[in-house]
Amino acid sequence: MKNQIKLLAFLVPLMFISCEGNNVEPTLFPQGEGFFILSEGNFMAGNGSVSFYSLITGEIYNELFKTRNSRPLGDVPTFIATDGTTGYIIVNNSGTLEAVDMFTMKSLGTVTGLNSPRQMAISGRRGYVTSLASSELTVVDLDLMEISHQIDIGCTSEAVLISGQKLFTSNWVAGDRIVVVDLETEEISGSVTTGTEPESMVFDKNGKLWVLCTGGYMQDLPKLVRINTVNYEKEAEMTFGSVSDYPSSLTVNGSGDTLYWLHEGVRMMPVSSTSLPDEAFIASGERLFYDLGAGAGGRIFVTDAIDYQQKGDLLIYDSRGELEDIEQAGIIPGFIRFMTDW
Amino acid sequence: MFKRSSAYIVPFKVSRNTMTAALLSLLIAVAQEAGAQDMFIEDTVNISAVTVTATASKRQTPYTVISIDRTLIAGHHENDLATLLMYATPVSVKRYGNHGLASVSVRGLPGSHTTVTWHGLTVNAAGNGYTDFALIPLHAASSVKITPGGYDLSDISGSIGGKVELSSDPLFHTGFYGSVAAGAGSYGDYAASAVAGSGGESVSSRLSLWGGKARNDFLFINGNAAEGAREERRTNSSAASGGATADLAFRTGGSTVAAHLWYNNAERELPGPVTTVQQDFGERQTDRSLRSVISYSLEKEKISAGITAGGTSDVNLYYHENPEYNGDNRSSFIMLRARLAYRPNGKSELGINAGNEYQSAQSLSFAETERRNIFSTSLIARFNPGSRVRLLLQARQMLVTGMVLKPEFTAGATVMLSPDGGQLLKASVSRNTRLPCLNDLYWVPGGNGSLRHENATGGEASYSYVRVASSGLKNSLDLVLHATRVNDLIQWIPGVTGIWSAGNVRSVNVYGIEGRLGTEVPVNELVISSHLNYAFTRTEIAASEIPNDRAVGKQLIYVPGNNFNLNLDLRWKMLRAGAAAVCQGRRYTTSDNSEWLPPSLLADARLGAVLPAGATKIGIDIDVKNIFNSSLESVRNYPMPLRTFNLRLTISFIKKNEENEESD
Repeated sequence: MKNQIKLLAFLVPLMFISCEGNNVEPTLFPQGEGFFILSEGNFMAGNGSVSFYSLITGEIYNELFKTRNSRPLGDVPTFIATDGTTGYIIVNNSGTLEAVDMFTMKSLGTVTGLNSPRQMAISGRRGYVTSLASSELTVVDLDLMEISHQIDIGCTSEAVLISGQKLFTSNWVAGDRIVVVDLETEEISGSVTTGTEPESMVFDKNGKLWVLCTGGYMQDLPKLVRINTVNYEKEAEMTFGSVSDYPSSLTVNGSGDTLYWLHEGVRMMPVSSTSLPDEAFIASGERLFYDLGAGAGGRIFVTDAIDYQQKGDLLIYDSRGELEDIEQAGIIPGFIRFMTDW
Repeated sequence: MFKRSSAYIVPFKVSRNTMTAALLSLLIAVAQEAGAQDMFIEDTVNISAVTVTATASKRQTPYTVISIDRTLIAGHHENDLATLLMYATPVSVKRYGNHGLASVSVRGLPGSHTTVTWHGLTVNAAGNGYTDFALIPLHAASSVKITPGGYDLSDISGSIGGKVELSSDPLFHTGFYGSVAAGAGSYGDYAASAVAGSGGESVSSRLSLWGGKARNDFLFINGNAAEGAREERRTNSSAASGGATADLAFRTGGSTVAAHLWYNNAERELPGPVTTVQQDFGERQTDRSLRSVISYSLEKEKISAGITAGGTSDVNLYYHENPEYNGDNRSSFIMLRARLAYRPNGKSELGINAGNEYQSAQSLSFAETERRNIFSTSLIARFNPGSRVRLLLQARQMLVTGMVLKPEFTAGATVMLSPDGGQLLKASVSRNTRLPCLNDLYWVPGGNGSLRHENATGGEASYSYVRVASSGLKNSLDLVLHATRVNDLIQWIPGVTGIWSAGNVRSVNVYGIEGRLGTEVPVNELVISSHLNYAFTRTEIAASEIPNDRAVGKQLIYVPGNNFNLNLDLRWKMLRAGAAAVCQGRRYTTSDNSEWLPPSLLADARLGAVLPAGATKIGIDIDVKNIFNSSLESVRNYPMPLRTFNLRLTISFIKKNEENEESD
């Protein structure tokens, strides 16, 4: 009994010491170079999550949003747009847009009522949100964190990029074109017919728009298309070999000179190439590759969703395509957003 | 990659010659069930407006058969079958919110592994293989029986999770009876029903009608709201349903002809999940079904025989705010089965069953109407080598379009530890099969025509005790140990294209303990009865063909390790009161068991009275559900209501004619 009293006398002051404190929010992950990963979570389960992989420590830090805000992020987060140190996370099946402090992951506000949002591009203090279900782009006032208005583009939309005053968005599901919107007038200024179901797109170092078309499910031959963003003409069109091919997740490295995408592994192609690569740069083997990112120095980061019902993996490959490390991420890890110089 | 091959499916053509031959062969087939000699207690129970005496025992069967006490069925008369099973049996119920789709997991296997039959007709939809237990009102049957596992091979095809049998036995010598009931409850919940029937010397008839609607905009706690936990009101969740059953039976000598008809219609809005925000996609669903069965049975000295024919037509229409996602799924069965049993002496019985089931399903997601024919024949032998030992052997061979199947078997023994059969030791082993449903085979995209059937090998051992004292005290206890290995479990998993497809990807080991305890204590005019069920179930993924699958060694999702329920009823003169509780342990929601629903407790209470007025009785009951106002989810993000109230008025009468009074 005497010992217990002594222990209590020792512990009680410690409790007060530990409760004193500064108001600085503890960091959940090390600052510095790395990337965020959005894990979609189980469809309709609302357990999407945010992870950070630090290129400095070589470790992954999971469940950042839930840990910071004591609530889940929502159902199927698909995209992060950034503006300085503020991130805007699109949560597709919850129909929400979460603004967060990227350093702390603290929620700064939520926009609700978005119709199946997919991705967002920022111009000024406006966010342009694509929709899988609506033929309108939703414009969000990022200062007020509320929906401002809609722009009718006549089709559903998926990927979105802005170059100057031009917004390019892809008409993915059952579509076959890129729609261009003039941001000054917010009216359609053109469109480019690509291939069936343009799923992902990037700008290269030359300002060219590369579009990866999946071909739909067993429908048409997939295509990789290069578009001139000035005159909207197709400069190159490379066709895959079979309708059963299903390429996805086109991305580009930081220097904009090499394209990567998923197709029976990871495919790699210089932007100067005139033909598709014959073989995968990284074979998927037994893995179920879900999404990827291309980092500095040629390192490739691929997510593996396993069975879509458990926590997936982040696979880290070196510039030669050798597997360096495996880290466990959230459920259905997908979108990757690199953070440099922050 | 999945492989879709309709080439493997040979459409079954119904020709007159084939049907005639089948009929003739079935007519000479042999049977078993009706020949089973029930030798134990008789339970006198009340159902709705009438009192019947029913033989209760399937206890001699060497595997578990649970007959739900009819007082429990009567206590849940206005509920659906899912609610009854949740409160009265060791199964676990998974429900997508109040009035939402409900599936029943028996012994740790998914709801698609539970077969439901109504008078021997399969109720599961041919397309997805599921039965939505929320769409089965208890008006549709007066008897509910559960056989866990796939031990019973007397049906045309099998299940490896378990079987739920619904039926309404003909009631002879009852006179004319009827009842009307009306109820109202929280959140615009209204229900009404009417039953009218008569039972004479040789004819029994009954007509049941029911209908109900619920606004169902209940309050719940959204614990994940961006602003912090707050009370919200459910939207897009109304439900309405109605239906009718008609039963007609005629008997003469040892022969009985019975016909049954069941029409059901349900319209439901489908509320979305609550994933920080309450999602609402304007979804709704219509389910319509028409089922009919006609049967003939014969009991004559050493022979019993029966023939049953039936058909079902199910329509499931799904609507979404985006019409591209709308669904139109239709399926139907035609079934013909026969049985014949021969008892050469008091010690043995030989029987044969044969039957054919023709399935058809069409969907917007099928390339064409898909069809499948299942023919099976099963043999059964019962032998009593001594006065206290019962042996059972069953074997079944299925012939299925496009599949090659091994024979299934069950072997079991029952030993009476006491001369009166009050204490039994039972053991069974079985090997059985579950066929993939038509969606597994033909859904576009993802259906896999190369799927193998699932197969299960397992056994159970049990102790059963029943004692009925002259004082009226009744006690029963059942303890069951069970273990099963299921190979080639069919699951839908994503492929490299992101398209989900069906595959035989995992194997599971299921083992557990079940305990059932029942007691009824009469104390002067007070009768106290209680039923308790407990199940410990471990359904462990034993092997997987999914690369890097961390689910191996983990519990299957939504299978509670511990499941407990308790029903307590008190009857004193005109008054009746009761309480019920369901407690479920942790239910994992991810295959690697990294996330779960917490343990839950749902408790209800009810109070009522029956006021006699000559041949008429007036009953009034009030129910309080979720008395502790617990925030509950059966499926993640699909909340159940907080505390609700329901008031019900029942008027019933029975008029016995002279003939019936004499025979009584």
